Amino acid sequence: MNKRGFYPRLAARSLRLNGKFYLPYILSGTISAAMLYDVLFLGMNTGIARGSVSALLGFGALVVALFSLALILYTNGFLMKRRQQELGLYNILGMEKRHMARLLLWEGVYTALICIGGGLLLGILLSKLFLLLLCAIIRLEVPFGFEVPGEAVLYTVVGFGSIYLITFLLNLFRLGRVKPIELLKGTESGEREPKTKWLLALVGFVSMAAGYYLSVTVQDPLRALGIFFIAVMLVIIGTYALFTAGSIWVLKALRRNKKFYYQPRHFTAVSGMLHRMKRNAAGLATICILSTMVLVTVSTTLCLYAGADQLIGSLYGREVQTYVFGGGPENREKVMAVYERVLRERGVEGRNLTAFCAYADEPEYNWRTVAAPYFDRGVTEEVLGDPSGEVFFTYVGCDVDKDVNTYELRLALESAVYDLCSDPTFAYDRTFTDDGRGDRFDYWSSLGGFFFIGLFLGSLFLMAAVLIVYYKQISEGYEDARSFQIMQQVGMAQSEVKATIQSQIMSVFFLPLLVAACHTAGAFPMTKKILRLFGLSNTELFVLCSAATLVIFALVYYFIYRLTAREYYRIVKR
Amino acid sequence: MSLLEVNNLKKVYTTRLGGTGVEALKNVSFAVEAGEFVAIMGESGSGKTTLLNILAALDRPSGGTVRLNGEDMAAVRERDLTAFRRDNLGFVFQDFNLLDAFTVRDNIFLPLVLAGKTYEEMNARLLPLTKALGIGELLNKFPYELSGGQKQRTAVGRALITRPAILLADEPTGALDSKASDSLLRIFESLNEQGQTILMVTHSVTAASHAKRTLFLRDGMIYHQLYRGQRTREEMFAQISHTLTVMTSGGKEQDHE
Repeated sequence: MNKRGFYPRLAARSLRLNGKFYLPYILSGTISAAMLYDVLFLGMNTGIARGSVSALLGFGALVVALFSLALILYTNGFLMKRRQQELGLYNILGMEKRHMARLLLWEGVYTALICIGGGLLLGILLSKLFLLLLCAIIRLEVPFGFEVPGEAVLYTVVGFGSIYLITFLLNLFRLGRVKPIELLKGTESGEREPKTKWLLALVGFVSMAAGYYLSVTVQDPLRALGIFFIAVMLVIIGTYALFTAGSIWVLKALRRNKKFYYQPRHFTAVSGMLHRMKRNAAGLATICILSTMVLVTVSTTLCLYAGADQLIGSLYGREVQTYVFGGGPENREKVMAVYERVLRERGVEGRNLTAFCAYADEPEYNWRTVAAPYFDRGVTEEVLGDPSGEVFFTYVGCDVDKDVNTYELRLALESAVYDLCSDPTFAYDRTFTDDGRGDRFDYWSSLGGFFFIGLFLGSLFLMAAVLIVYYKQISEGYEDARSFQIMQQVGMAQSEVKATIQSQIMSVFFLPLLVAACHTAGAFPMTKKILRLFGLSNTELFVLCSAATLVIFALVYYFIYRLTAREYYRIVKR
Repeated sequence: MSLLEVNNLKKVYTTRLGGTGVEALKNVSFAVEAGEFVAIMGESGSGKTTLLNILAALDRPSGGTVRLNGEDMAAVRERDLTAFRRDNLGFVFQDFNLLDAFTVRDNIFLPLVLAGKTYEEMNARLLPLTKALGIGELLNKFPYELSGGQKQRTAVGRALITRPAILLADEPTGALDSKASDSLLRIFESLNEQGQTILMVTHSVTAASHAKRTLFLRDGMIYHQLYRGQRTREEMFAQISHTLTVMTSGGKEQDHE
């Protein structure tokens, strides 16, 4: 007998037979590997990866790798639990544990090969697309050509190779500990009804409240960053504890209410959820946390990006700008006239023209900050600021098209302002003309980089949430199939079955979304303070960005719900 | 008029591509009077399960009629079927089919909850029933805490709480040890004495010997029937065993009493 090829073939066959479970596992592994490759690729692209963007991409790669590890371990654990029965059967048919270890090894090898190979291929195909996206976001020329950096490939292979090695070792450990009879019993064993855990509920409530309290009360933006992580940890702990203990408490209270409980729709839903809340709760909490992560990451980075123009304006002023310190309000007209003439002569169109006079309390002539509060006022005749201020200044500035050379324009403006200054009727202490495109660009790239990483990680978290939801639904589908069959035998119509399933899935599905929205709102005061660190203080914009993110996320979530509910119903109906 | 009338019942299973079908039931006719306790015996493949599924309105016959209380079950519309089944029939299965997520009380309540009854009404029915079944103490337990016999008595409770015209039992002792079987069959007998009509499909001679009448099914036809009459259980046991021996060894005995 040809023994050599037996385990590889058996492994291939069992992967195929368990396709419904393995396909999402392999797919998510492939996508994660592709994402790791792409983020590495972007980080190594010399055309764009400079300074802050490069550092951000490096951080992104680390997050992708660690998160992939957690995700793959989680789904692998789920798969192994489902396959216990199959392994138990092999055991009874005379396969020893070392044989099973070989089977697992081959399965691991196949999975790793498919995921890493497929991931690299997908990553290379998508790399140009991501490059285009990143360049569009940070407003950069797209570098020509198509490259596959060997280092990025190497790191991806090493990273995911290690992840699958760890997975395999963990499976071996699991296999070593389990007894054959347990292998055979698998997931079927009846579960004890969970007890209400008061202590856990209390811990959950306290840490959740503490997390929210920290978020709402934090004052200092610089401290907010440090406190943010503490609050996040507290809320994560609180979410897990409250989902675990709180849900049981609520369900038991519902069951005690006889009028509510003994109704066809509630009867099965409440008892079913109560019955498997032990496992259910952790899954729900995980989905909730992931959703919150998506919401917070994407909404903050989106807000940074959407507010970038304003932010940069307030930090660096207009692209070309002139400050005239001293003199009187009549200087505004004069400097504006100089701008209009120079722009007209050079055939350049000025945008966002800003011109005003203002008092300031800045003895150091800190020209970068004195004008910042008034950039949104545009051209105004009003004299701004507190008249008791020590300094009086005039500001004129505008933005120009991308293809205009701001350095040359600035020189022209400078010499024109110099001409103006030589006019004895023009009163001034000191003038300064500036172009800020270089600084602006660096800042732009880092904000764009943030947004890109936010989107990138957001989609990774979203994929994880989808995967967990999918596995949860199908495993529960298999568990519930028998219950629904029995209920049909004792007098439940098909339509009632459908309605029950709907109400059960709905509540399980939309609870995490609701809590995630709540968390995002709770994090709002703190994220707002952190955004202020970046110089952004536009609350309206942040509210708008958060709302937009939430709406889009809810739509995606609803789509996933429809998809998995259909799959669940198909399993149960059989 | 009999409670249940089965006339010329046929069931042909055709393969998906048409072709020749398998006749699970060829021509079955019998009647069950109110208050009877009937056992249907036969080997695997004799058509027992098919017959029970048709009586339970879970499957439709290819020919013939089933009348319950004079009403033709084929005339009940598909969407009324669930309610019809719930109101007229009670089921007991070999492997109990209790729901793990429910307590004993809630398992018994299930059909009534589905029928939209109030808690007070359900509770009023529950107490006398569970007392008769000897599970009054177990109401707050979950199925995993029960023995096989207790589970099956719970299942009987669930079947009877709707006060069905007929209790249909499919191999009710199949998963029980002899002691639990005996106690369950005694409960069936006492329920029957109080007027409950019972139709039980089984291949246990012991189980059948508790019934008032035993029908023998072979190759999709009623082969024979025995009335218990004044016979003791032991005599009935011997008689059934004898009939089975004759039946499996291929005899054509037609010994109607």
